[in-house]
Amino acid sequence: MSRWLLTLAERAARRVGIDPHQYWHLLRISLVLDFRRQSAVSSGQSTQSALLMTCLVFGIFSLVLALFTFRTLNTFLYSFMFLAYSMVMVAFIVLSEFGATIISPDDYEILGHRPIASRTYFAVKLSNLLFYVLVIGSALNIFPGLLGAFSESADRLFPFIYFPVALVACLFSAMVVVLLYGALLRVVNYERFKDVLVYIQVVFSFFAFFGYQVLLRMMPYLEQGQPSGGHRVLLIAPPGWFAGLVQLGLGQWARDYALWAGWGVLMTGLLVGAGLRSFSLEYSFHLARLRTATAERRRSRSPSGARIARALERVLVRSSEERAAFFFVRQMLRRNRTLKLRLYPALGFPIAFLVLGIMEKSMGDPFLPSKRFPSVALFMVLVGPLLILNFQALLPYSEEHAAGWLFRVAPVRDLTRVFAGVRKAFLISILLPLFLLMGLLLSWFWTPAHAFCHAAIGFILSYLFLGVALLFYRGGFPFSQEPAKMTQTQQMTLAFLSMPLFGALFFLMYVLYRHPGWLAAAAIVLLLLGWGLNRAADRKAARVTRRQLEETLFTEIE
Amino acid sequence: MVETVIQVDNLTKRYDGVLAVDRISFTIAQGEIVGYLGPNGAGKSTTVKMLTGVLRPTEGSILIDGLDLLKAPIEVKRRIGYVPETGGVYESLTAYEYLQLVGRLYHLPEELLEHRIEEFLRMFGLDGVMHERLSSYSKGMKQKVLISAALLHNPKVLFLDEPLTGLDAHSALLLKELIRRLAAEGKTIFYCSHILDVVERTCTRVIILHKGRIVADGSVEQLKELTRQGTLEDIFKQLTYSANIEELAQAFARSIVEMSA
Repeated sequence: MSRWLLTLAERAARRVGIDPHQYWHLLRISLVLDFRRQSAVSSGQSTQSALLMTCLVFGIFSLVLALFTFRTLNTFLYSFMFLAYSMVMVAFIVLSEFGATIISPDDYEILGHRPIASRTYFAVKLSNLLFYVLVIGSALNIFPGLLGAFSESADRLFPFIYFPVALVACLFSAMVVVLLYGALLRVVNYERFKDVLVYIQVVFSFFAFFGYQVLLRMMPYLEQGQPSGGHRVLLIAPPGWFAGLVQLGLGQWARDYALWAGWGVLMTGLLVGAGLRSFSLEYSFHLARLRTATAERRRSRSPSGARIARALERVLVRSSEERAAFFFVRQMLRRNRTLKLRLYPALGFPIAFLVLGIMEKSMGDPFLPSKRFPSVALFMVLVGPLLILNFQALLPYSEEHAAGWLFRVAPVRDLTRVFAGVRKAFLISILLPLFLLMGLLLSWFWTPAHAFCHAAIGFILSYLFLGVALLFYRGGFPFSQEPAKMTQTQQMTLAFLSMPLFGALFFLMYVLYRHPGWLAAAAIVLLLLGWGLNRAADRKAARVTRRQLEETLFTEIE
Repeated sequence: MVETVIQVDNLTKRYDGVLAVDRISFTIAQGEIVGYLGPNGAGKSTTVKMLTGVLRPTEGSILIDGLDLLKAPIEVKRRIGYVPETGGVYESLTAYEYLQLVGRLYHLPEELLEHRIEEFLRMFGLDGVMHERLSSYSKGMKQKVLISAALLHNPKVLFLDEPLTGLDAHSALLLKELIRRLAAEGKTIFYCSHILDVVERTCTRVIILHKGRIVADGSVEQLKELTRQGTLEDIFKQLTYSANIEELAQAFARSIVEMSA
């Protein structure tokens, strides 16, 4: 029976232009490579453990979310919410972690001259991606699926209907991103492609965050609606199509559900069939074009154009090693796509809160007595800690990690200075302009003095938080380790687990604004505490890095 | 009396029980250009990584400029320059910024650093593109930047691991001449390469490594005399291959033809 199935699958593969023999071996090797690839130093983790950890954290998140909602939402809203969450998470992970899986001209350099058909090559890449999507999709949906069976309106069939539909929805989401890659490749060169991808991801993250906030606020209204009438608007969105499919599977027939579920199935079919068919045929051609296309030459600002900045640098970063690290990290923050991709979306956070504050008319001045607590203004400040967590997680990794040998060969006597430079670069390049801009924005709503005072408090708290976050830095020279697949998502997820710290900061701000008389003294105390913590963090990062250098150097080199 | 700049004693490196470098010892005097040769996997790059303080030896000692590398790694690193075989550069930086980063890590005064960067890049013909990002550079251009980075702090000892990789003919000639001039100025050059005729013409002394052990050490003339061979290539073949190269190639070609028949 299995032999018969295998022969059938092979025939089908050949029919669509895929060599099953090559496909199987290439896929096996690509997965073996993923799981063998260890991060550079001992503190780094393999794809395997990162994937396991990510799945575990996603599973716990979904479980908690499901526990809060499975008794309160009807099956449609429940399915919609979890499908939307899974689809957005999958799309985001594919965008941020798997760009290089689908579009990698370096891979093509190894395999391009071999007799491999474009479709076989593409099928391997896609299967590699889908493997991760299925694993992550399962982690995201297993608990919501199981708990859904115990909701008020569902029956015991729910997990058996919901789970496969959720996996199809995740695959749909991943396919959309892959086709987006395909569409982009047709119009831009590789350098531009990577840039465009960064901006798409930034915008995507912003909308994901903003959409999530809007959705949360819409839920009470939607719950009041009738089973199909009140939800009609949600059926326009892709998660609604699949939620409609779940309803049909549960035997809840309604015209809207049938219409949109049918639309969902049709779109998935079209996506897999027509879209991927055309992209897969041209896949090798596009990769070859990327390989041969000369990198766009971009003139950077000449040193003479930055005299003031350099003078400022000399004052702020005095030692040579500190200046080296400061300048290096500052340029990477400006230019490195991965960093931009992972840091800049967080900048959408205060903007989204600002928009929500305007929408809800809750942009109250926290320095003025008011019945309504100015939570929006306080939430805006938390962008600092959010950026810090991301930066801390990203600091050791880079696609340019091969250049990290420089730090090991250079005669750096005091590594503390290197980390001081790193920290100052982040403070001056990211946090300072961010809070200045925030002060400026808030000046439209409050008096400039109050706006900038609020921004200053945000900066001081972020400075304090930077010290705390860097105390947990796992060591390594900046941007000198290879990013293994999934490790960054895992670190981001772990960073989100430190939400209680955000709560502590929020509480601290609440106390400060309730006692404005303490503000000046508290600011000085917090600043001094921050200074101490930051210095301690530099020393700790230096110590850990030095130990890594001494203990594990040979595994890294070989 | 000529000063000894590199002194290696019983240097050994073992990876999980595999012996990569096996108790090698040699001394190199100031101003010498030493070619370090060996077939793939002989332990050349491992030796260079140990000599530059990147890799910790399992056993043995390394003295550079009279300083023990294991005891004073920072002081030793200040005295050496290194062009790695496969070392990348931070491509998000421009050539100017990259060299500035390197110079600052070596504590060069800002004005001197600025002057040297401009001078070096001008000599390598990169002055017109020094403010462009390294991602847009060709392999050879990046190699020139790496060579400039190794020379920036005026090191006493220079370790070059396949430095001609990717260089055009003109730049290769320039580098070879530069190596000779630097040696004449008293710099010690440790030159690791597979290109035997370049080593033969450039180096004053050759060390041949085979399976982690030194099998020959001397000037090209001394080795020719010792092995009664005409060229460095012949010496290399005799010392590092047990099988006859011609016979091996013939058997290989025959097996390919027979397999396809």
